[in-house]
Amino acid sequence: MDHWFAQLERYGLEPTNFACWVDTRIQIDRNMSVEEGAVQIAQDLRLAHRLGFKFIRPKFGVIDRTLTPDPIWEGAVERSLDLAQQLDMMILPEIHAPTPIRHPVTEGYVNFIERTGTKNFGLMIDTGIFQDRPLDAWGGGDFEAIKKGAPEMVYGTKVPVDHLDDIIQYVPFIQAKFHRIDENLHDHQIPWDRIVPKLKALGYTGYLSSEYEGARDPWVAIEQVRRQHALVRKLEAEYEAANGGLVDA
Amino acid sequence: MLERTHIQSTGFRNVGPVEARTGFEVRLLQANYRSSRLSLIEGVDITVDGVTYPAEQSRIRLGDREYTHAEMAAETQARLYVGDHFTVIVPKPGGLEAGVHLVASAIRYRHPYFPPEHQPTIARNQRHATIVMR
Repeated sequence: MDHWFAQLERYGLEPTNFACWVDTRIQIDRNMSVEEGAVQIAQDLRLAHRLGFKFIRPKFGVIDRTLTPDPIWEGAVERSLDLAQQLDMMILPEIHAPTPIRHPVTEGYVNFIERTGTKNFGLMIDTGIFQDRPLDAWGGGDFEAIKKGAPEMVYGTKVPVDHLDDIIQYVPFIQAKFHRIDENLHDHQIPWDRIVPKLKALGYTGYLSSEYEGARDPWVAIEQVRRQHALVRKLEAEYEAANGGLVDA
Repeated sequence: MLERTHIQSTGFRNVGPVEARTGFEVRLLQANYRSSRLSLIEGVDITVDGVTYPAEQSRIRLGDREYTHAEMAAETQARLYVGDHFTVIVPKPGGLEAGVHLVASAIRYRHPYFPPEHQPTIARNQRHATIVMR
């Protein structure tokens, strides 16, 4: 633990989101019970809290192609809300391609927030859902097989950026997924030129956390992440210049 | 030091008494970006020189524990961590000839967070590896 915190201090890092999984189909012939799911979430909340994280992102097992979570998610999360509140943590399932914003999966999570009134559960948006042009490389696996088996992952889920209006109040953390930004700071898949102004207009004050998922050649990722940071900052400055400074200052 | 390939050069050897080998073993790197409960690994098939040795007949050694295929499926608490290696012990009376073999591995991972049609997801690797002693 001392080493962990010393490294954070040395590199000027802040723990934000702790990625974790609720492996619902825990055995080939048996799914997790609600109780087992709650135990898993409690363990991850406690561990993440000890390490200084603010959010956990449990990946629930899914039952179909649109990533509908195993129905145990709701009971497992509900039993974890008191602990999350004690620890001042948020539980954030990820809205990830091919699941759009206007979809029963997302609506199920929003309904849960509204029903319970909890402040300890929200949504994480993976910007891969806004992908509106095809991938030209795949981070891993056989590209041609993926084109056939999961075409939406290659050609994009194409969620309109305006749909952020519906749910932004529940989003404290955005996984800034991207695949390729060229030397002209042009992103070939993700429409940052629409996403960043939208987030500014909505007064978003949460996190953006880079997630590079493009070609895996050595050393490429470092430069790609730097380009993304430059691009997002440039778009933010342009928005502020056009709109008379900070919107919510 | 572990190699980047799943199949490791070291640890590829015959097992059992020298004059009465009972099989061979292959050392593999845990091949996913996250740790995995053993129950999420549905089996590891090994192919040597075109002959496949199915997971159901092999055992897996992790640290100083060995698991049959059924024991792996039932083991929900022990985990293979990122950077871990494990060994597949394959029964083959007489073992393998000394020399270079073409070895392939297929680790069947069940990722519950993937859509059902992508389960299991198979991590494959193939390379030449050498048995030093018969």
